[in-house]
Amino acid sequence: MVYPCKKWILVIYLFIMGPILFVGCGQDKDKEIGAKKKPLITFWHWWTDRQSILEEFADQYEEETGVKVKFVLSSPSGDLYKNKLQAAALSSTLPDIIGVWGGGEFLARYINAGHISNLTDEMEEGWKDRFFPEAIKRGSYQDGNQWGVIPGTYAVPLTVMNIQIFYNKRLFEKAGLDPMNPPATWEEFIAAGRKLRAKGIAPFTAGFGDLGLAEWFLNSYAWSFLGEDNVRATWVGERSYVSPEWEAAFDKFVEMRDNEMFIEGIAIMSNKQSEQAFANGLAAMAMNGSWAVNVYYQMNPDLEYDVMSFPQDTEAANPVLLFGGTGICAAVNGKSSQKLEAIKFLKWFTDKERQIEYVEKAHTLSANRNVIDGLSPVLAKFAKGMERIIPDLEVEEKNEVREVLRKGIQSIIIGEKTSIKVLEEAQRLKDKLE
Amino acid sequence: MKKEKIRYIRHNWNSYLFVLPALSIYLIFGLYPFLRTFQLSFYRWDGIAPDMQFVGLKNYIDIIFNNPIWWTSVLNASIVSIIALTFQNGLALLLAILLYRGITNGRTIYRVIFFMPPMLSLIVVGYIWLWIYDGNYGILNHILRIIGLGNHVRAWLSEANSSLISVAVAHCWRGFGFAFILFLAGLQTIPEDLYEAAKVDGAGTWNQFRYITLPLLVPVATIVSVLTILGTMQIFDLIMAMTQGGPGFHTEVPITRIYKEAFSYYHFGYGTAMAIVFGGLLLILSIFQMECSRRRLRR
Amino acid sequence: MATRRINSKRIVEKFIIHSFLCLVSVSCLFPLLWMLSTSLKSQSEVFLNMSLIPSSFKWNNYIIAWKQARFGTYFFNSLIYTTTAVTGVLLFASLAAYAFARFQFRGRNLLFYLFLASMMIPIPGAFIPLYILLIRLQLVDTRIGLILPYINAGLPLAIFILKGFFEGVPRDLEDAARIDGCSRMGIYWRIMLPLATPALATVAIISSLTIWNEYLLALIVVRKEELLPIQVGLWTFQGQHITNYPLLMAGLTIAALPLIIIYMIMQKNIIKGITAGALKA
Repeated sequence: MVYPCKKWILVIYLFIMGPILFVGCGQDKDKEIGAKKKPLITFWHWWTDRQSILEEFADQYEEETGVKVKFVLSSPSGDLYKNKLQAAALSSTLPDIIGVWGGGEFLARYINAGHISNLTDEMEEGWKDRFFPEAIKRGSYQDGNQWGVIPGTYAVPLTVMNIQIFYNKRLFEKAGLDPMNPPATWEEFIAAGRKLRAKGIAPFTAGFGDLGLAEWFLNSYAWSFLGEDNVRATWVGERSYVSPEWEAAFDKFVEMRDNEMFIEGIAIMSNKQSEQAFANGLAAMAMNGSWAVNVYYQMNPDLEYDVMSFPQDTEAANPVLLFGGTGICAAVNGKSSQKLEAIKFLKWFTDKERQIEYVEKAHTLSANRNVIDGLSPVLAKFAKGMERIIPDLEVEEKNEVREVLRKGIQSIIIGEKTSIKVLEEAQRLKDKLE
Repeated sequence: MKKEKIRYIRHNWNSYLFVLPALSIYLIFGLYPFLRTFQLSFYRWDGIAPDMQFVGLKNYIDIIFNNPIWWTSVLNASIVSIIALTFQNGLALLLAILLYRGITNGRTIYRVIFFMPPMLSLIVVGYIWLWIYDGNYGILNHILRIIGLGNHVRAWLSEANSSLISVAVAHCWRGFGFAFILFLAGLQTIPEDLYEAAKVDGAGTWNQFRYITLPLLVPVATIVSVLTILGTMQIFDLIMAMTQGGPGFHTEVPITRIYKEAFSYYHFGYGTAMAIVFGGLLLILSIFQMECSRRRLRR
Repeated sequence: MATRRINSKRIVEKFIIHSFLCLVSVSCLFPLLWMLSTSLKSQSEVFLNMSLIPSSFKWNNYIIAWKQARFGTYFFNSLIYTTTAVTGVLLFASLAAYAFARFQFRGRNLLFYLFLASMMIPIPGAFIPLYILLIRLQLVDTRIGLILPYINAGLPLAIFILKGFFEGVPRDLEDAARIDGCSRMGIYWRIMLPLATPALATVAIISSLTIWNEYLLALIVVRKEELLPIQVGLWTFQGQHITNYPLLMAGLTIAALPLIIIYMIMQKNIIKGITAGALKA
């Protein structure tokens, strides 16, 4: 009775383990056959709502050139996509073209490990002329950059974006404000907020829980109060955060809080929630990116809104600039055997003709600067905004310090900390990290 | 007796045969990847670079002595755990007992309904709870106004003193179903004749609960509480759906910190070391818990 | 007179119990109703009409969702992954848990805590060595390459729960069986497993839930689209910026259905009393 049972366990065991051990031997034949077929370019991305549009372009390209491009929606969100890329990079299984975010530390790591092609030569041959110059800069690294990347352009910009303030025309009218002349100065902005609040309308919403947006708001005013050189000096550690200019930038949040400008719960609101609030007329103004045009259309097609720039503080030394840059980019796998084919496709795809079609279908701003005809008035304002975006400094503040600043903004909004306390905390952390 | 014992030892080796299938899968797909990542905790690595820098115990020392935010996050998760241990498990036990001994009608329906929350997607759960807590048109504020507690109205998730508790309540709601079915399964192991005997002795409902149900539930209660602590200390997706760790650092928990270190700051070594420190804490905690209940059982 | 008083007292008691249970039930059912109602609305109605009853019932959403999310393929995949992995977990975990609960052997506690520890250390990026391992074993893009890690992921919890239940089973039953000449395997199969039906059912429910809802590992490990699990299909409705709530909710409802059915079948086994099993043995 004992023996059959033991055998039984062994049988189960072999049944499970067997396949693993046996499958392990020689299965590379498929790959050899694959190489003989006509070229197939694989393109990974995470742009869920664009997959079907991209596939149409792939079909068109195959018809024209016979080269098949396979768009693979590898992940539902940017965060997961990063995981997927990392696993693929470490096992050398990255695709020929990789959807990426432009520049910064994220891409620098892949470039330094040899995963990304340097596209400088191709770009210099006239390719780069079709893009917004700022967009090209976001995918490039200059001499002496902090990550030690060999200078050059590594990412092809596909879309661009910037952040402005949307406002609801009907709610403005309700509060006695002129929807044709939105507030242009900070004083007018605060005054408009008071009028709106008096009518029981929440004046301002934004996805400050998503953190990025809070920091972008801050950056616009930091630039205005400090100017480019001083911001750079702070980030590289030559100037302290504890200064009147930085305090003035942070005090924008204090003023808005004290004047009850914020919609309830803004400190942890995600951008999606904020978009819903604005689309449903629960808030009169919303800080958001150019992508929101499409979002608001989907949520409430009847919404009557326009867009305005960030209000200028008259005491600030510099004009207020917009946060913006590339939305999404494409990079070419440095280890791919089909580099040239991949570049050829990207050139074709970023062509004016294709981009006009793409913009029409995806309701977004193309990185191709020639594609501005036929944009809706609001999107045209965003396209114009590309001329006033915060320039790329080629230095980044340390992520840890940025987190303290971003979280500090939330603390200021809920009345837990003062501007100066947040700045002191940030500076203390920065000193510790150096 | 002696002969029996010898036979027992002789057949000892085939004990391993019982463990072998599970163990071999675990060794290949669990332990091996773990050991490969474990060594990272002694390095500085950005997650992509082919080379990494050996830093010894620096990551560990920094986490333990020099990272107040990390310990805040551990404290936050501990608070949620205590709430879950008491309220969530208390509710689950109450419901299980009521269904087992309190009522006779509709047991099946209740049993199915009480397990709905764990089966719902996080997308639905997050959406509903954000709606409940919303400061502008939230259901909770609405109810408070109706019952005359209008002065307690607030944006529940975005205030320093209510955000963590609010998340904890949502977490308990989402998790009580698991505890409920475990308790239900545990109650089945109590022999019915014990209750019959107690009834004959004239014991009331409370005394039956106190002297039969509760002591015999200790093994299951241990399982439930260990699993509650493990699940709650590792709370993550609900936090991301509701507050993303804000406002400030009020709802940061260990897993949000670990992920931020690894995937936002690209400090893979540091993030791994955090996970090891955290895992160590949990292991000590659960072994302690199991030993405690074992002692109680012996008594 | 006395009996009537007891009766009325019991009725009041029952009433209180039932109203409490109903209150809890409402909170559990409300999100479900919201999901169902949203799945029948149109996209613009989701945000403008907060009522639970849609202005017109768009049953078509379910057909669109099924097609757009390619559930035809994914649904079948998830069914395979879940059934095989849960079977694997139940079989291997119960064997190991029985040994941990009843046998004396060297390294028993160490092995048990080893399993337990893997539930506790949330290593960031542990999927990377796993992925590389699967590539080396040629298991990437195979079903077994996903099922085995799923079994591994389900084992610790299952072993932990089952060990606890096995320890609670009275020893005299086994002793009796051993005297009758039953082997260890026989005791495990004919006595312990039937006695632990409630625990097995619980473990089956919990593991099917986690495996059915899993997509992170699948996302990293699987590159062939025809092998992806059902959760992946639901991405289609969640754009970077826009979520199509009606279709998403229709998809979520379809995806939740098998879980609800599994639970409805399994919950009967949770209450199959241990005493009933003991009598049969």
